[in-house]
Amino acid sequence: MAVSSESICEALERIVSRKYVSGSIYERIKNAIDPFPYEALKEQVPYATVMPANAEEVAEILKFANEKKVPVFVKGSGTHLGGASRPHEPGIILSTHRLNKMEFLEDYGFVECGAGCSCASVAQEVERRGYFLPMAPGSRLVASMGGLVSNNTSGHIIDTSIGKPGDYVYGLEVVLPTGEIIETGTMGLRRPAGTEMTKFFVGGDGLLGVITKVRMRLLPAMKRAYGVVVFEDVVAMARGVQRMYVEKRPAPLLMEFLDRKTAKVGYTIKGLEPPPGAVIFFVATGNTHQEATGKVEMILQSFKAEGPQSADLIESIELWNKLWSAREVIGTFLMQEGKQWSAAEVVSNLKSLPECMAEVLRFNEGLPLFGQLELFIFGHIGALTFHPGVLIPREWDNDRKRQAVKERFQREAELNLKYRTCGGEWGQFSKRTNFWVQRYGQVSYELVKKMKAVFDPNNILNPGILEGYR
Amino acid sequence: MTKEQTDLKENLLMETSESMDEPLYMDQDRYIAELKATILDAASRCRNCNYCSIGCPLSDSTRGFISQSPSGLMQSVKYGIRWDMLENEDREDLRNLLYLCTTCNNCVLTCKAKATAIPILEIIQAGRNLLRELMIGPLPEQRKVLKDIYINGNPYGENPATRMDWLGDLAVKRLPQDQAEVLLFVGCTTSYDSKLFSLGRKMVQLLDALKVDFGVLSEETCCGHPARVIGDEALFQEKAAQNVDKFLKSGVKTIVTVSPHCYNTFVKEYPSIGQNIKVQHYTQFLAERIQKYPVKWRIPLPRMVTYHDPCYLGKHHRIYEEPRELLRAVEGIELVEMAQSRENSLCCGGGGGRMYTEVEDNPRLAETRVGQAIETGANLIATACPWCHTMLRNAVEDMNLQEKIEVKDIAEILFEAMGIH
Repeated sequence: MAVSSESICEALERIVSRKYVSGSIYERIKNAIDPFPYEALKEQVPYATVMPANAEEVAEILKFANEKKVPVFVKGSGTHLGGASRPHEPGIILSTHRLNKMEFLEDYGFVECGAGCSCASVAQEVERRGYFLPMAPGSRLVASMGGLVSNNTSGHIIDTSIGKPGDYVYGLEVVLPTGEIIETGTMGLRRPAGTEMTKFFVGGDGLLGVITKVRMRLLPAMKRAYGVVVFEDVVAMARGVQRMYVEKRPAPLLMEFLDRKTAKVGYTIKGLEPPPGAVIFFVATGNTHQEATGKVEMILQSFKAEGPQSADLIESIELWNKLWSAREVIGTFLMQEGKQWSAAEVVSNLKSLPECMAEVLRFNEGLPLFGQLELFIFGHIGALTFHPGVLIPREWDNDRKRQAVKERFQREAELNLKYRTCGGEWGQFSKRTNFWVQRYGQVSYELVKKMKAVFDPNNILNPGILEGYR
Repeated sequence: MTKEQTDLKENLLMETSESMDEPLYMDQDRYIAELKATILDAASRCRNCNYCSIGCPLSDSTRGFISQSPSGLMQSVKYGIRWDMLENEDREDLRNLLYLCTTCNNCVLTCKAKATAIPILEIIQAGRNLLRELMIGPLPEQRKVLKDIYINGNPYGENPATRMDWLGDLAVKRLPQDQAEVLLFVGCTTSYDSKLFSLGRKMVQLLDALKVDFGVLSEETCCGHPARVIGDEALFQEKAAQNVDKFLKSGVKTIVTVSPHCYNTFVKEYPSIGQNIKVQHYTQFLAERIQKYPVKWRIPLPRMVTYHDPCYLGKHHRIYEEPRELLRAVEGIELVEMAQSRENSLCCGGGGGRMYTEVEDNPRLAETRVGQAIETGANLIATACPWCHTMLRNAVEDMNLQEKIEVKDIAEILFEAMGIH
């Protein structure tokens, strides 16, 4: 069989109902683009999109793909900020859209959901039932559970507080690239000791299998209290965060940073007086409101030792909501002229945080293209993470945009290598494999390639994410 | 349009129905170039975040292919232009995508709140105009609608001479021959759908009972909204010019519309009348009137009612409260909200030219909406749009739920509660 869109569709229609297969050129093009600022390339347009209803259909699709040596790209909502949702060559788009069942097993202490459920829908139902899970990527409104778990990203939530989604994943249903279905983990509340297959797939960058179902432990919701600090000197602000950890303050649930310019944008849109310096907002949790408030006050003490312009407990939930929404609208507002946001993910270690902050302020200095653009900085400073970013003009051609993005990744890699850290939100390999090899060495890289070869001998699943491997 | 163009069009129309495909603009190349530029400029601001798919009735009701999301429609027409595919063998794919949209405005509101504030509907509209110019759009059933509007002044192919039949023996001022303060613009659906005749009559009796000095146009014609959303800008402009002329000649101070679609058209797309005449949807007009001159509700209506927000009132104009105020004013009504209401309301599926064609899988949007209404425990769905009324009523019948729930326009409910005979 010669590979063509028609022949692939015909074969897929023998596996899933015809109405869940599309060979439409327009469906294929839409699946060839992602939030990266450059245009679709004709040579990357997929052959077809298919929407399986269950693991068995996923398995059949993968078996067919192996037989015909056709790549399969798994697609949730396609919001990955590291290029993992853009296919690099023609293949089959396997949409998880129909893997959307959600079941609460509260008598077991779990929620089980299909990979295609949106994080927002799961989080909403989790919260409605009095629970909470660390799932707050920027794209949470549309991001899928499969993507979230494959990246093991908690977004705003700070790892040192309640951990990442993977810390709550107690089991998975996975289809291996060769088409076998496996179950991992446990139905008990005690995690397996020793070899635990779940770990291969949580944060697995989509290299080793297709996650079709996720089982997560339900964490009871906590009371919250809020704080805000403003500093003229951002390096002193970073020392405040450092002090918070060194002085053994309880880690906040989330702690966001906005440089003064970026904060001014958000505050102004929300009708608030712009702050006189850079801002940190944070949330502490406790079993009681009093406990949460006490934690906020303890954290504020650490900041007060570094000479802030202000350091306050926020008692009004309305004010907190306004401040939070000021943070949320910034990217939206900045992009409304049509420019596209492109930000790095620089992660410091605790000891170097003030130094890292100073370097992030100069992030784009000397970069030929990225350096031409105005820098805005925000980040999850409680997780020692910064997102220095620029707005890429839409008028730039594809090559220029690609070059600017490449410069960004290179500078990000330099800093993360220097601080011996790595990105904590956007996966490790897509667009970052060079960094990974430098960070963890050729031996580790070769091991990952061997592992990929064992799981996926024909390199069928999401090829291109593990760059340099064919 | 010049007389030459009008004559040419009329001649073409008389020959064959296919002749409706003929381009209507003198400088068609320039118009096409302008449409393409508009689309490419706006669509290039889309960052593919896909937030617009949240709450999109298409994304919810179709099979979930991403090209059917608002961003998908935009990117499709953009790449159709950029990769020169508009007239190739995939042209019907693009047409079928662009004409899926109900134009409910959910995506525009979402993109403004969460993303890059792209005027998504304007791009979809420009895409439809472009396909119409290239003789690829609209959908086959919609071509007849354009022809009917052109020939008969209504999208249903009905004889214009029977347009006032809905009135029966009711006496009402005819404008411009008579004089009145208020023009009641009845609209094509209420005028020609026999199941909605009583809505029109009750509206007239309601206005009479509220002592409103009003009349109807003796020669009412389509507002042009269906032509515009289907992509025929020239026909829309023609209807707009006719209507503006009639409105100005009528001498009224206020136009009150039965349909939110006519309301939207007059407010947003007939810019010149806004300077001279106030335009209101009837729910706005009645809410103001009843607040000013309280009415006596003679008949209590002890019913559990849920209100379906028509998109062209709610999501397009943020008119959420006036219809609810009217319902709350009626003694006995317990108003309950559906899971999706106000700015999150689910479209009935009738907008965007879809009234005239079957474009979706089961369950239809209107059926999903009726299901949401049933879940509230209500036994009456109130709405304020003839298209929503028709779509929801048909859904109730198709689902065999007539025993459980019925659909009424707010005007009909007020009529009952006032005990008008």
